Amino acid sequence: MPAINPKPEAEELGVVVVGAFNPAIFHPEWFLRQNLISDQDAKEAKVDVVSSQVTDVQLCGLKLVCVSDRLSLGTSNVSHAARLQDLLVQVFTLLPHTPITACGINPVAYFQVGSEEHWHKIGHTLVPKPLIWDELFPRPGMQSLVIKAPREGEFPGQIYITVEPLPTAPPWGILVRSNYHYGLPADLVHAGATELLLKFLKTEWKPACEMTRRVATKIFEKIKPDNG
Amino acid sequence: MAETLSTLGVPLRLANDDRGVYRRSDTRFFLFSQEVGHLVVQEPAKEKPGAEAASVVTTEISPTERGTTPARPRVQRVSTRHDDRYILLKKFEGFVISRGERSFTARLFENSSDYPVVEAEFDLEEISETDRELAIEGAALVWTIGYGYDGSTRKRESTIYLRRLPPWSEKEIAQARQAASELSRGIQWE
Repeated sequence: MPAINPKPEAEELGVVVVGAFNPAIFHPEWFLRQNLISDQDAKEAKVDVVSSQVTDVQLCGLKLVCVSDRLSLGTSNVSHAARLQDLLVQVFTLLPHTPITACGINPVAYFQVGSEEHWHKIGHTLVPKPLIWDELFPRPGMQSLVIKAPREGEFPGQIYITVEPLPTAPPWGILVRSNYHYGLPADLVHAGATELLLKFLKTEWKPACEMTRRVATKIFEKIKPDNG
Repeated sequence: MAETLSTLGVPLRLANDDRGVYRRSDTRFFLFSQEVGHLVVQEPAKEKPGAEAASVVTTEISPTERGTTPARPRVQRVSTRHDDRYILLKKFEGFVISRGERSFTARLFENSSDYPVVEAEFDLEEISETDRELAIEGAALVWTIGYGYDGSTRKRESTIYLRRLPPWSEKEIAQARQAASELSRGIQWE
């Protein structure tokens, strides 16, 4: 039997870094002067706001949002995923003394489900209703399921997986979100945090980015349509 | 992926509200559970036209001037979402093995366990003018093929991205050498 390999109909990728930042730095001009982007990229960048409190810019197909305690870089075109990783690595290589407390690599993927019956079957299998919910409410439905799993290894942390139904009309689908969370050791916040962050971004990037596809593959492999 | 309307409440916070920076480690969301929210940004009020003298930038702080420019709150919509739908069909990673005047050849693989690996030749015209100087022997690249959208029109896209990673540090090189050495020692030759 061929392996089930569901293809997402849409994907997003975002990275959130928690720490202490100066949002005003992240102007396209700064990226250009640091040779992180080309003249053309800088010309095409879109600046919504750059201030000491919040920065919201789009450059190189990526959206960068920064406030004093967090930096987010994301894209809904995953062909830019490598660019996103490179830009993060370049930024924190240039800002090695930034206090960092945590980082999350957060892919989102939307998968179509062939029929309403299969869509309900997925929800009922992930969250069975008979024991509790059917006795409390008429027609209860799963709206969001969050699973937290510890992650061990060189970068211990947690993986949060969220599965949500989308939408309540054809085409039926499910949304799978993953948060590959890494909390940096507290004693490294002011010394060595960026070095560890860079290593995390390089080492854990691939498994983190593949997490939503991995979860969806397991769901579609284990919960098949009744006529399938 | 349309935004979901919620009646949970309007997410609103001050942009410079950094309380708990060393306590809150949640990286699931940027600021708001719905990924779209509003920040209250405090901006200095703009000077009235004709008040040129007052708009001169100075580093002098006199008691009369200090704090006389009132902060004007402004609500800034912030979303970490980027609406640019794309369906990824294939992704290859690899590196340039040779470069000619008009083309370059790359060794590519979908997974690190792929064997034999694929080699492909690309015209330099396939990459942007600014990226061409990056296409040198040994340069890492990513080749993606997918469907992009222009309104309701779907188009097939092939994108070659030459990576811009900083060079390896001495420490990373030493660690890679040690890992390779351990791997090599672990092989049981028959």
